[in-house]
Amino acid sequence: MVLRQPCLRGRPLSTGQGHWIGAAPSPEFAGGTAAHADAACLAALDGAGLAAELVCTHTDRAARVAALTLSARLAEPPDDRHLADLARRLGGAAVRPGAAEAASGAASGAEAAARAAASARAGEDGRCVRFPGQDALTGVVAAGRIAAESAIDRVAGVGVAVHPDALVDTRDFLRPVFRGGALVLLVEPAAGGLLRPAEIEHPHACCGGH
Amino acid sequence: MTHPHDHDHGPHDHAHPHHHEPEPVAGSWRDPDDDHPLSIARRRFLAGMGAAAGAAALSGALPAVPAAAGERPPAPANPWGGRYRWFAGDHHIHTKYSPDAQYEVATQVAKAREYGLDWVVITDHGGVAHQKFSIDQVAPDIEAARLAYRDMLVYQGLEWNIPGAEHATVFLPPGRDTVEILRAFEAGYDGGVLSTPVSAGGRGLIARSTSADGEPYALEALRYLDRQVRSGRTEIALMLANHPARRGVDSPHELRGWRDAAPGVAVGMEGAPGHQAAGIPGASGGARGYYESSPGQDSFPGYAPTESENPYRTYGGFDWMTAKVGGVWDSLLAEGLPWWITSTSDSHQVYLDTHTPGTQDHASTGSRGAPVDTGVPRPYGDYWPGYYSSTLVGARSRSYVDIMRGLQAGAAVAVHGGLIEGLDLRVRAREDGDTRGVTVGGRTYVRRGGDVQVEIWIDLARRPNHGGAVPRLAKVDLIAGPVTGAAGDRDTMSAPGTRVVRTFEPARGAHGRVRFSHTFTDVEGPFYLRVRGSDGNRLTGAGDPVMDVPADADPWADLWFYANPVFVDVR
Repeated sequence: MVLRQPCLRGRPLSTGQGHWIGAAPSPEFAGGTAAHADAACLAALDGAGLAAELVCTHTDRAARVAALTLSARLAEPPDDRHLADLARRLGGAAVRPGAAEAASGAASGAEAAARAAASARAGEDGRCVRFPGQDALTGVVAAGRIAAESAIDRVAGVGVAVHPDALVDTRDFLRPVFRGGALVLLVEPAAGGLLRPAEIEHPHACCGGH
Repeated sequence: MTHPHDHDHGPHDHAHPHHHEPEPVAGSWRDPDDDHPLSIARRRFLAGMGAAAGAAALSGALPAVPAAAGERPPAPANPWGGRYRWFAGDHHIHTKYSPDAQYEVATQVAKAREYGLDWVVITDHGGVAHQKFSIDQVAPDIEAARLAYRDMLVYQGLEWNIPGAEHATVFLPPGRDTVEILRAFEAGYDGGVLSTPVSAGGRGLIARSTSADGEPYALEALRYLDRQVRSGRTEIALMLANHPARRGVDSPHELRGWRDAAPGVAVGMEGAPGHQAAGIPGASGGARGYYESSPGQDSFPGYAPTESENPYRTYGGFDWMTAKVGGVWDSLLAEGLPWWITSTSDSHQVYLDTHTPGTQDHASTGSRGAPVDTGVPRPYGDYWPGYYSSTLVGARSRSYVDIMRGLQAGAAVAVHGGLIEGLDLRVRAREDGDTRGVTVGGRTYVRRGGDVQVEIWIDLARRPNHGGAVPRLAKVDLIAGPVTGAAGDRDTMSAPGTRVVRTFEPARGAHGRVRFSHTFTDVEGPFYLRVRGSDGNRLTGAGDPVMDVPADADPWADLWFYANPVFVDVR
């Protein structure tokens, strides 16, 4: 079952609103775990003075080596100075789609950055690292509350129905994804009859000599 | 595409408990002439023909004549009824020479022996430090273990970081050049070595160990091993992909590419990963198999989790590629590709063991040093080799090369928790065709429109496993699907025609050996079949394995076995 409670949120789908930017960090920008890269990306956005209320990571597969890209929705239109600062912090490119003159960084990076912004704005792709309502969703919360009180449009279970009363152990780490125009939090059964997000912050580190 | 009809039989078809001692299970697939120089030369010749030689020619037991156009088709592979024995083993074991593991080689070998294994492969992680420092230390330790445990076969191997993908076991039989081949292989083709900057001792040739720019190196690596076999430097070399779906980085086209690049070397994958204790309630807090990841930059987009499935999790302890009927494994089999599955421990640190890694710096010495006994049981996620997972391999003799040939030929069954003690599968044409038939991993044929009989004898568990109970086999599924030829899309990951054809249930109280049979009638097209079984504790409504729940997956309460397939050609 898919949970959908748009009436409780009292506002339309979150994607189309606001001012979108895209960015493409250099390959050296952030290694390590996804959570580590998330933190570095958020720090770069905040450090550049861009008040991003919704931030997504993307995987750009246009080149042989897949690359991390970002999209962010801002409450105010960004000025070029802030975009340039973001590009510098990422060692890459930052763009405001539709405003070619506002691109900072290498051309190929700018194209990847523009793809990220476009796909998030359309609600087609993006792993959401920051979103409205995120801070209040800590610990164990009811699935219905997640959809009602945050930008997440629905909570979907892997192989299980999600009742609004079902409890989700957020583990203080939520990474909903854009899919088909909606921001979806995928959850799965966890111990103790709870649900937990399909993406967790610290999966067992697979080790090797690299 | 035609699909064989199913045909039900009368009461005769039900399980019969038999009360004799389990015999050595039948089915030698070895051509007695196979070791003759001419045969060996022919084998190499055929291997060089690639796909044109036909799948049977590449599965280790080679036909007497090539299957080129206009010639006689290949003889059945893995013929049933010969003399061979099952040898239990584990091709994925770590020691203190891995940065994330801790045991002495001797400890792992002694434990494997204690828990009933006949053969083991030592597979420490590849990488700069391992290539530079560990190989020369592990080789003498392995030699010493062979001397100390003369009834154990101890292979030297490597857990290779496949460039562009996951890890894989690579191993060779002992030989004059074994260590040097492994050393050169790792230096040239390990994803860790290739992705480490030159300044840090690596080669700096690819972006990440798992990034797609590594894919050509993986193919070249497998061709390198194949050349070592052809040139006679080693009699055989095998590669098995480990925990293939764990991080979603083994795309379907990579699996196909490896197999096609070196069909005698790249022969399969772990059907079940190790780390089976990781999901025990109150233990590591992890997921069974440590399958708790989600898509990353180098993951194949087609594996993204959905509301119907999460490929990044185990199902009944098995990797999703294997556990899903009509999934990735079946998509390869439906092409007629020999691609085999196994089950291993991936033993790094053992559940409730009291040791922690030694204090040595692995990066600069290639070893963690001797483990430290803290006296405190630790909630680790692994089992000792043989304690829970085993791969039963049919081989003519207990020799290094024969067991590898058995694996290469797909004569293997993956078993968890001692659910069964033995399996004898016979698939044959009832009248017109190969009436002797073949066994696990084999290839047989029937005249078009003829009937194919499947007989399954299973030796039920007689002893308690290490979970403390005598496992009870509740059901056996016969799975089959049409062989539809090469997939147009190399990333094909489903086989829509494959399904559970029939489910057998041993009688309550059955013991000893049970038999099931099924006949496919009016067979009009080529197909394959395979067998799996379960203790029946955790099943979906359709009788499939359930997605394991993190930190709530008692591996002893959810046991499965999976046998490798048999291909049936129609002539």
